Parts: sequence; structure tokens; C-alpha cells
Amino acid sequence: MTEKTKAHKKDSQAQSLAGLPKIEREPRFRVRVKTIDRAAEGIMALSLERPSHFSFEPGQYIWLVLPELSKIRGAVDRRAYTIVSSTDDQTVDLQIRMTDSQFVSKIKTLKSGQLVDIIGPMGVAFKGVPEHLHYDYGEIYPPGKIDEQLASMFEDVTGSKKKLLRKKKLPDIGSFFLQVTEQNRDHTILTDRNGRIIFANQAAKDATGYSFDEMRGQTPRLWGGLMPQPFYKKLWTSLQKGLAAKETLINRRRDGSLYVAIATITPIIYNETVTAFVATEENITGLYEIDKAKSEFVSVASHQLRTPLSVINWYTEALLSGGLGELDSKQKRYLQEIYESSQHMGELIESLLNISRLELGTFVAKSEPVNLTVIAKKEIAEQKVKAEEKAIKISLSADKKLPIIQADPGNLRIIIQNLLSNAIKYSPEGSRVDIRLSVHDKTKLLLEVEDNGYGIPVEQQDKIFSKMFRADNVQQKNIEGTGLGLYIVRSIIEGAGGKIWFKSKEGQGTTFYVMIPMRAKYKK
Amino acid sequence: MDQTKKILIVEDEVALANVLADRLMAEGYGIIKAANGQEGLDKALAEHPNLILLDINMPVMNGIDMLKSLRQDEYGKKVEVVLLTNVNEYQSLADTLAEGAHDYLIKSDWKLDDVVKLVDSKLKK
Repeated sequence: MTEKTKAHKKDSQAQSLAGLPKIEREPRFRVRVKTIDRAAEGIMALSLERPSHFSFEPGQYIWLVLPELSKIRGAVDRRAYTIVSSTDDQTVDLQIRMTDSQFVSKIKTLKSGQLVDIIGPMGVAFKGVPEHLHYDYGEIYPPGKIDEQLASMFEDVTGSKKKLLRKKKLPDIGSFFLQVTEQNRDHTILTDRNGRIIFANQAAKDATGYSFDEMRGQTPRLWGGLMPQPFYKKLWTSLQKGLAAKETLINRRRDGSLYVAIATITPIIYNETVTAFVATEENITGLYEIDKAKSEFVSVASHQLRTPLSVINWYTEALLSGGLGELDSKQKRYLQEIYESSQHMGELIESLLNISRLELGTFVAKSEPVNLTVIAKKEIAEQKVKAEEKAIKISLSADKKLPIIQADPGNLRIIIQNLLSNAIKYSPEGSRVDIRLSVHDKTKLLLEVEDNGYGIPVEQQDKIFSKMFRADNVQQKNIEGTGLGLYIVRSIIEGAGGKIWFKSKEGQGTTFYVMIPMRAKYKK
Repeated sequence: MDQTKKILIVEDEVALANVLADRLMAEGYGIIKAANGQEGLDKALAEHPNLILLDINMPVMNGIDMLKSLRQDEYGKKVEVVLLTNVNEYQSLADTLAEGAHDYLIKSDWKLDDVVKLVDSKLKK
């Protein structure tokens, strides 16, 4: 800046200050400060009319000056009680960005005696140059009229601000939010209650490739929107209720490339309403690729394991059949053990394959006419031996009007097989397992598998469908299992548009309920 | 049992081919063995078996390619082919069935007894 323009600036500044409230009004403000119950950190004076010193244009700043801050920086006290135009490059202050129309509407609200909240990027400015733009939240209380000026209280409600202000060095004054997020390597944004972006940290700009100017006022749809619509709808409904969410999303950068991220969205609740959202994204594309490679490896390895398994199975079976000469009872018993272990291994490999298919998205489901009663009968017959070993009685009651449905018979078999084998495995000797098939409504069937077994401990019930999870009580009983069955069952039934849930009481038993759509709707 | 019925087993896993052959011979079938698709094709065209049990993943020539070549031949167009596989990804199976296999069985899921039952049912038609 040349000397000339500086001088000119000073002139215009002197002019602009001429319109400011006179210093004698200050005591009245002070009284007002003291009489207001709620502690104020700042006072804001808003003009009813556009003051002559303040040429107010859309996008221009309204300055809020916090007295404490002014003291720290040695700024003139009285400015703490006034609007200072943005041409005042000497002031160190906090600012809130507001457009003309926003300003007018806020004034209207204040005039009607209501409280106004301010949400917007605030910044600490040094000599008129905003240094840290950060997000803040404040409230303006309904003002009293002082001459042609409206004065109001400004209370900063960012919890940490007060503490930060006490520090004598200004660079520390950035809000908590700014400090936490700007250094954060994870993408972090702040949006208003409508999801419109008002802040984005450097990582968010790096991750998406959008500049802050491109993001501002947009929703995160700018780089998202690739998930199915119902997913976003559900998410938004839950966020509106003030519930935080954690979801894995596929997003698209500005350059068109895709990435996978875990997004954590936290609603900021103030005065019992959702006022804003903080969203962070952790890019897990690398992890996702490793996970995919793992699933592919499991798939290939499992296929390879099947050939030697077939050899073991068929040779043992050939020996056991007696076609190669009679075996004595001990030899038979030994071979039977080999055969059973090999069958067990086959089941484990099948589970691993199912999981890798589910995770790789290669789990292709068919849609053909299926009689669920027939499948259930077959499964009961398959597991009869295991049930008889424990003297467990299995009963099947099927609605006579049970219609033929369109589904994947193999998948339904996996569901019934797992639920039934769990019921047998986790029940004491001599108990019973009841399978019920009924019509739930016009579009769904209900499968129930009830046992009087060990039950699932209450505190572990929410984890029972997680991969590799096994409840403590059955682990203590040394019952074999992989923790894969229910994970597979849930993935399959949800993949077909159905649902699974259960009721369980430890020591009394468990009932699993599966809602099976009559027309499977497979997710793509 | 009809002594004249011949079965060609095309399977690179010798142990599997052997136990299957032994069992089917015990049931009275005549058995021809081949360790890959090329050998299988040659033996099929030379000896005209009544049924072919065909593995999919094999060296030299896989089962799908063998099936394609087989279906070019007058005899090969009609002969019944059952796939022996451990690959039960629906797509690859669907591809192979589209090439003209009549049935398939997943080796690790099937009992030897059930394989025999399937063979019996195919050859008694």
C-alpha cells in the first residue's frame, strides 16, 4: 500500500467512525450488560437503519468485537460496543460473515423480541485481514433500543473459547474446532442444519479435490451421492433425530476417481435442536483393497482345498462301504472319525467360500420357484443324526397354505441349515427344536426356529450377527463353531430383501425369526 | 447291470479318478480314463463312451474347451456329459452348461454313493 492510499484510507476511516455511537452511550451499555442474567462475552450493536458509516453490501462482514479480546490486543475499548466497518484495518476482532438479506432477516427477528442464533464461519482478523476462518456459534439476545441503534448481547457458546481467550497470545485464539480439525489428517467438514457446507479443513479439500469456494453452500453430495437413494434417506432421517452415524461410503473426487471412506457424522445439538453437523471421512480405499485381496485369496484357497477333501471323502467312503473287504469295528470307528472330520472341514470351507463370495459381491443368487416346506423337511432329515445323538426332538409345523415363492433354494437351505444346526448345537440333551413356517402378509413368509437351549447372554446379543463372534456361554461349554453362520445368514437374507431377528433368554432358549420375501429383491 | 455301458472319466486328479473308476467298475461299468481335455476328446471320439464325467479345471485342455470340440462331432453332439467340479460359482457353471453339459455335481459335496446313483439314472434311460 502506498503512502497516498494509506492516507486516503485513514481519511475515509475517520469519516466512517463519525457515525458511530458516542462514547457517553457506553455506560448505558454497561448497565445493560450487568442486568442481563446470562454471562456475555461480547456485545453487538446492530443498526436499525443502514448507518452512514457502514456501507452494507451482500457478503460484507458485520464485526463483532469481544471486549476481552480487545483488551488483550490493546484495541480501543469503546469499539467493543459498536459495529465497526470492515474498512477499519486497525481492529483485531472476531467476525461473522453475513449477507445483506441474512442481516435484514436477523434484524427482523431481533425486533420481534426473539433470540437469534448465528451460525457461520467466524474468523479472527488481524488488521482487517482474516487469518483464521473457523466456525463458531453465537446467540444474539433481543436488544433494547438505544437511539437509532439496536444493541444486543452476544454470547459465545463455543465451550472452549473462554479458556482460549484467557491465553495472551492471539494465534491460540482459533476455536477448538479449528484447532482440532485443521491439523487432522482426516477429511472434516462442518455443515449447517440443512447439510450445507460452512467449513472444510485442508484434508477435506485434499481428499475431494474441491476448493472451499466450490464446497461452500453445497452439500457433501458434491462428492457423494453414489450410494442407493434409500440409504441417504435413512441416514438423513436418523441424523435429523440427532443420532450420530458411521457409514462406509463410496465417493467420487472432483477428477472423477472413486474412493471408499468411513464417514462419521455427528449432529451438533443446541437448545434441543439439531443446529449443525460435523462430518469426518476416513479414506479406507487401501484397506478396502487389501480386504478384497484377502477375500479373493480365501476364495482361491478354499477352492483348492476342496480337491484333496474330495479325495479323502471318497476314499474313506469306499473303505467304509466294505466293498474292499470287511473292516473290524475298531477300524470302522477310526475311519468314521476321519470321515466326520473331513465332512466338518467341508462345511468350514463352504462357509469361508460363502463369506468370500458375499464380500467380493460374487454371491449370485438365483430366483426360481421354491417350496420352503420341502427345503425345511430336507434339512431336518440331514441333521437328524446330530439331533438324535443328543436326543433332541425336531418338529416342523408349516402353514398348509404356504405359497410357492420366488427365491434361491440354495440360499434358503443355508439359512435353515445354520439356524437348525445352531439350535441343536446350543441346546442340552433331551430338549426340543420347533420350526414354524407361516404366511406373514401378502409379500412375506415367516420362518421361526425355536429352541430351549442355552440362550444368548443379553450383553452380547447385539454382536451375535458379527463375523467370527461367538457368545461367551457357548465358548465356555467348548462347543465347536466358527462364528460365521449367523453372519452368513444375515448377509444372505438381507441381500434378498428380508430380515432376521431373535428373542433370547439365557438358560431358557432362543427363537430366531426370518422374514422371507415371496419375491427376493436382490441388492445390486 | 449292462456290461456294455462305458463311462469316460476325464479328471486330472488321479486319486479321484481312481476311486471313482474302482467304484463304478465294481458296479459293472466299463471305465476309460483320461487326465486332461485333449486326451479326453481323443478317447471320447475313438471309443464312443455312453457317458462322460468331465472335470472343468485341467491342464492342456480344460473341460469347457473339450466340451466345445466334442459338440462339433456327430457322436459328440448326443453323448451325455456330467460335469465333475469343485467350482460352484454359478457363472462358470452356467457357462459350461450353456456349452451343452447335461448335469453337474460338486465333488466335495457329493458322496460316492450319490455319484453312482446319478450315473445309474443317466444310463438307465
